[in-house]
Amino acid sequence: MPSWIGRFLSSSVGKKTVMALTGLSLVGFLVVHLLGNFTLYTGGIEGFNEYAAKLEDLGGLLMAAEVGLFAIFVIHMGLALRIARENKRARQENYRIRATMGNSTAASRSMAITGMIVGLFLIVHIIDFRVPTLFGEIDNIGEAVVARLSSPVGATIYLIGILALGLHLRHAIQSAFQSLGLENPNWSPLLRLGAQTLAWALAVGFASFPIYCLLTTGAASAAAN
Amino acid sequence: MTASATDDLTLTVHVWCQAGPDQPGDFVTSEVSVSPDTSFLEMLDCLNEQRMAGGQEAIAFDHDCREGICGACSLVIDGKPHGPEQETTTCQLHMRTFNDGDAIYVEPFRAKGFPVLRDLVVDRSAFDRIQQAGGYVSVNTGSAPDAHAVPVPKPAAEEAFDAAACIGCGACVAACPNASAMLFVAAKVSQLALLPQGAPERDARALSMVEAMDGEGFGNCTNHFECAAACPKAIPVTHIARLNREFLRSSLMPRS
Repeated sequence: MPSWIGRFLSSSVGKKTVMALTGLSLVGFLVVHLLGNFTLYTGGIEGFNEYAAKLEDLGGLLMAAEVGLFAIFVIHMGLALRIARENKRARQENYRIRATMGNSTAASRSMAITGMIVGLFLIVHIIDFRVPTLFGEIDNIGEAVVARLSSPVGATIYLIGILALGLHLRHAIQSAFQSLGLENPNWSPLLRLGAQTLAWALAVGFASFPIYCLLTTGAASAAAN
Repeated sequence: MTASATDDLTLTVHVWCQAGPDQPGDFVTSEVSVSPDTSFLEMLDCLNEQRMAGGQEAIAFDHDCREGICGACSLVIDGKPHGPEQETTTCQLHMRTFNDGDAIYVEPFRAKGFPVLRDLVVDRSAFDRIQQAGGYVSVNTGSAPDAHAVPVPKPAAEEAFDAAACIGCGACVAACPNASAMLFVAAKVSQLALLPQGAPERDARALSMVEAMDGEGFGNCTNHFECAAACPKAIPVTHIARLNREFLRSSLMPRS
């Protein structure tokens, strides 16, 4: 390995570059995931199942994508833990009186916490759907999703996970652009607006599913009565 | 009664006192009456006179020019580096900013890269070492070059000058939740990256200065941007983006 790579990866700016690139890759995955989920709205449970079947048909390609995603996630999380540890060490004695200067946000200050909640949520999410489908324990993934999301406990877990994700992304996407040095008076305002819009769109888009499932099953059970 | 411009303010001042490096410290509380026209440092002078008259040791704090340009003064006042006023160093902060009867908490800058030496004095020589790692241009001495012999576009000159306004006080580090020194290093790298005089050493500069910064134990920038709000010279975080670009450029596309 060329020596510059080691130097790059161990430096603070290099670490932030990798955080930004892995983070944006994960955002890319989220966009695809959300678009795929929308088949539940456009085609109902059947449409969702068809989409899932098409994904499964990809076979080795899907497996490769999943392994890649997992690797990106592990790198992002591992580096985040390292950065958080180093940053804690950089101020060993805290201020007795703390005041924000006004530029940091609740989202920026809680990145480690929201990141950890998203990580835990991801484990729950994978155990809910990916592990059973991998072992053929779920025949109808669409029904399983709706059943999980229309139970109050399931919907609550998903909404908490998505809320943490939304907060994380609110800082993350625009922060990634800054870390990559993408700053220019002409298009920075547009990038910031785009980053905020994407963060909101992803959070609202994902949150719509548990809410939709809660409402429709509520209506269905009311109709059954 | 509200204090008019001539009425003295009576304040309860809690000042961080610490006998030496790695010693435990704590707030020492005193009452002090000063004119609203005194600067914050003059208020501390009055407090020290009071202490010495009472047989106590003076509280140590950094100061030099007292006109906002040297970067020697520091202090975190009520949780904010250089106090509550924007774009103001502690020496240019006046007591009229406070109200009669206020309690004021004064702490040193806190960062691993800025160890406390005593009371409110911290060792900021880490910044000198970062500068020495690349924050300069090598030029041949001799007669002064002709004016306009080296063309510099006006916007680049302006932006470089904005970055050059950095006085190296360290408020960016003090304000950063991660105690990162990115704004300081960014100002130094950015200033020279914008000018033709900085071009010959451009590749080495960002790499060496970031390496020196990391080596001093400062944290990683996570884009809170608290630094820019605390900076007495209002240096914007666009310079941090430029530092990131300079670092990437030097790492990925070195010219040699």
